[in-house]
Amino acid sequence: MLKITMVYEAQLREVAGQAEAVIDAEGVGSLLELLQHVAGQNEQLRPRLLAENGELLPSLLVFVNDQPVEHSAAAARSLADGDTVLLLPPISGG
Amino acid sequence: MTERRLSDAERARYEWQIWTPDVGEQGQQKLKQASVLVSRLGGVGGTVAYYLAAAGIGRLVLAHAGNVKPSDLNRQLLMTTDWLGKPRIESAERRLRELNPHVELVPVGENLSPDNAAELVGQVDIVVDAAPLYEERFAMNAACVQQQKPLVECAMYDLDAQLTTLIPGQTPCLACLYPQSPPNWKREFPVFGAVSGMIASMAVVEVIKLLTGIGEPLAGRMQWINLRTMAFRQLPIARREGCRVCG
Repeated sequence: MLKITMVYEAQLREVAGQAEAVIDAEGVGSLLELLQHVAGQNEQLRPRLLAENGELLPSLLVFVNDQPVEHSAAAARSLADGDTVLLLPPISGG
Repeated sequence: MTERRLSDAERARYEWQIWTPDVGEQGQQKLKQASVLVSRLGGVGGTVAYYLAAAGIGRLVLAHAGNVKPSDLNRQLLMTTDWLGKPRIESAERRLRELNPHVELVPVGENLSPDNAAELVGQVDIVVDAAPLYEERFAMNAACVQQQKPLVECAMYDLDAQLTTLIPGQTPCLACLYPQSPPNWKREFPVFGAVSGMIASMAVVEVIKLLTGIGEPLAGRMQWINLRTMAFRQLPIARREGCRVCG
């Protein structure tokens, strides 16, 4: 069993339509694959998570259990049952 | 050079914050000697400037272009209804002078850009980034890294806000966090004035801590605040290897 809690903040919460979601990620091998899986289920989320080449969007901050994940490590970052993936989109002043 | 000693009028004005045990009159003198750049005086930056002036920062360099619009007035506390259609920087200067005539103001009626960033950052000790556009933020960040000046980064969206203090050589810089401008960025977004004001107040506390040496700056950490749930998350942030600005 591989249940992952996704936490969406700011614009991502709007696009995802929810602040949190528990995902059955059985068979998903890495953090990058997880986000590709999520993007595949929501076309509006896709451009906010992934670049056109399928890699993580450079301006997206990603944390697993509140620890930052360098984008270049996302393909190798494995996940464990019960992990929480926090996604912070860029925001600004104004 | 600003007179370091406090006048009787200043001592009376700042009395309640001078009572802060590790600030005292010496700390207040440090604030008086200091200079801070605030880029944009909107919902975040305007409130930042207001509290910096209230705290007695000696010199404020304030950059903001454009005229006051009706849609500014829900959050931009330095802008007033009677100033609609007139320059924002004038409204801000007037409000700040009304609040605290002891503070030296350097109003700049243009936004920070790659053309003026180095010159503006060069005038101050600390910079507060409250700009909506990433081009401005990146220009500010590059100038701060080059001149080794702390940059207090604050932002908000909807009922979310974030804050971190970027110290060149010690913490990530803005380009470590965001190596590229976000695609399809929109400079207009939902926000209440209470949200921008909340994160602005916290940013000013960061400036006060940096200048007086009290407490612990939010360096190498990012505070993310979700006011819908009142969740306050403090997250570690790391430098990016090969960063185009600070690497």
